[in-house]
Amino acid sequence: MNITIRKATIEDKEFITTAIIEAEKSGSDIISYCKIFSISEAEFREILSNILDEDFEGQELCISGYLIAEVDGERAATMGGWLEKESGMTSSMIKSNLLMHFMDRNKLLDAAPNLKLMNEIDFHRDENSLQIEISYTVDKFRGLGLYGKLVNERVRLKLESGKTFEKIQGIVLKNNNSPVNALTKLGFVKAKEKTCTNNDILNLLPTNTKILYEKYINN
Amino acid sequence: MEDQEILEQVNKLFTKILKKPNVVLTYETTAADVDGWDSLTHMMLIDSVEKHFAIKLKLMEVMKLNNVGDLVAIVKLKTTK
Repeated sequence: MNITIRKATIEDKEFITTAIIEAEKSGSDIISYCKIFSISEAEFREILSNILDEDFEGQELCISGYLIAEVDGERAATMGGWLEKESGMTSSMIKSNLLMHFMDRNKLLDAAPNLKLMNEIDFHRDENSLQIEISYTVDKFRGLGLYGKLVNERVRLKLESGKTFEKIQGIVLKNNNSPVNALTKLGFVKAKEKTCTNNDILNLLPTNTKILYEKYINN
Repeated sequence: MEDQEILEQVNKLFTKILKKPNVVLTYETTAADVDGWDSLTHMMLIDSVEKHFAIKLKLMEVMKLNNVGDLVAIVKLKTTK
């Protein structure tokens, strides 16, 4: 079995789209973007496609930020990542700008109460920390340690490019056992946990709790 | 419109959206300097600025906004065209 890891290209757009949607669902039927903005999956896919075409780095909806793991030449897993605030703007601001540009403005503004609720379980991402977000492994390739290989390669490539950073951060939904177990196995520790006490959040997310995992790379 | 006049109008918009009467913006102010200026209020602020000045900001224009001074400059550019 030959496992290789490479940077994603535009040819991987469909695979990355699937990854983002599956990561959003986190084992449920809920795509949070659809619930938050009251849009259909088809509408979300179109918006996502437009955003991915922009390839704006520094947030998770950017093809260049992804690595692809292939097993015997077949796409098997992917993971997004970036250095927080590398361009001077936070990932959440970049994403806001992208959503503003590609979404119906009224739907966006109407979603303010939902976004406010989501903010309750948002974490501050540390400037210049390596963020890993959106991970996806095709079912038949689970158990091969691809998650860990993607994290390690992400770190190696960033360091090789001359970037210096001390910490890796990953935010996961508490119910998403797969990345939680993988991060723990890789030496990440739970830094913070946030729970939204307003049950309305369960209309938007599969769970009301998010966890911030961290790892210092010189540990 | 002069820079200072734009800044004052932008300040009023921010005050209204952030619901903080004591917000005082300068050209150097960034989102990190203002309590409550998060990704959600950012969208509301940009929308409000566009509507108030009857302008439309392009994606690359908003991506290059590093501080309030940059916002004032782009508003000035667009309103004097």
